[in-house]
Amino acid sequence: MKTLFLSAAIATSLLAQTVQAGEKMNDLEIAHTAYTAGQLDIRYAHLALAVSENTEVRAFAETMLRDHAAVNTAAVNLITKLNVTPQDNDLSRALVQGAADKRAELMSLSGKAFDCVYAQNELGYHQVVNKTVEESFIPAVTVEPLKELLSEALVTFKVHEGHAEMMVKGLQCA
Amino acid sequence: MRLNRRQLCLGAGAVAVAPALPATGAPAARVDIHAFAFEPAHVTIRAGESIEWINHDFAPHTATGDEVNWDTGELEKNDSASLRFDTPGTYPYFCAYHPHMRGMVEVIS
Repeated sequence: MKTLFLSAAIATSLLAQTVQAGEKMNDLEIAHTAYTAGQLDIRYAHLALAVSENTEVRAFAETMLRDHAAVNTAAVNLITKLNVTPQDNDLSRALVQGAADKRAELMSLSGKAFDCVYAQNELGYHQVVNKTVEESFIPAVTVEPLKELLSEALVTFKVHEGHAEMMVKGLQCA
Repeated sequence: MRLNRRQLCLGAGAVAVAPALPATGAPAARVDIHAFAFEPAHVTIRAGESIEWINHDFAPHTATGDEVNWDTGELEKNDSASLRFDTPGTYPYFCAYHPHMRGMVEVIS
């Protein structure tokens, strides 16, 4: 339970930073941040597949690999078509650093402890990212194809959030 | 080597004939996969007719029989696959990647 509270606290803090940053970000920074968020979840999934022996956790990780790769491929295709270069920014860098810290924590764990921290992080991560994409990024974006891509990606990410919630409940980590 | 679902089903077909087979020509019905749902979720066709599934989502999907004895294989965005059903009956199915996605094929004589 302590871990769950800690995850929630981190998620809330990150969300506050994210929304604040999102209000100041341009289209290219938003594109970079959204792509980065997907890539980071793919890295979490690779780690889960390397460590976890839980069938449900592994299935979730495989879904994250497939779905986020598909979304990011679409993002790359759009960026190529628009002939623009996404811009690194404070929020992207904060996400990368936060994920590095979380991966370090995960790599020190195994068995059910790993599964619980991974699952809780996936739930918190998707909650934060989804709220940010829906309430900050999509309203702020000015290029219509990027807005459409984010809107469609959000459908996928919300399904992931629901899946993560079920995974957390199923693991009975409290 | 990565086997896709269709190859797995064909492998299973060595001991049991799959109720749905790859089809060519115009399908009698079309199922759109959109926002992690099969639309329509329930399709009725006559024996010998085929159904086409088209994926509109970024996420890859499948249409896989509950008994895993038939499926479309992986469908990426804008991919489609058609399967022919020759035997009357009901064929519930799901997405192998997102099992909460469910549909039903009803084949009448």
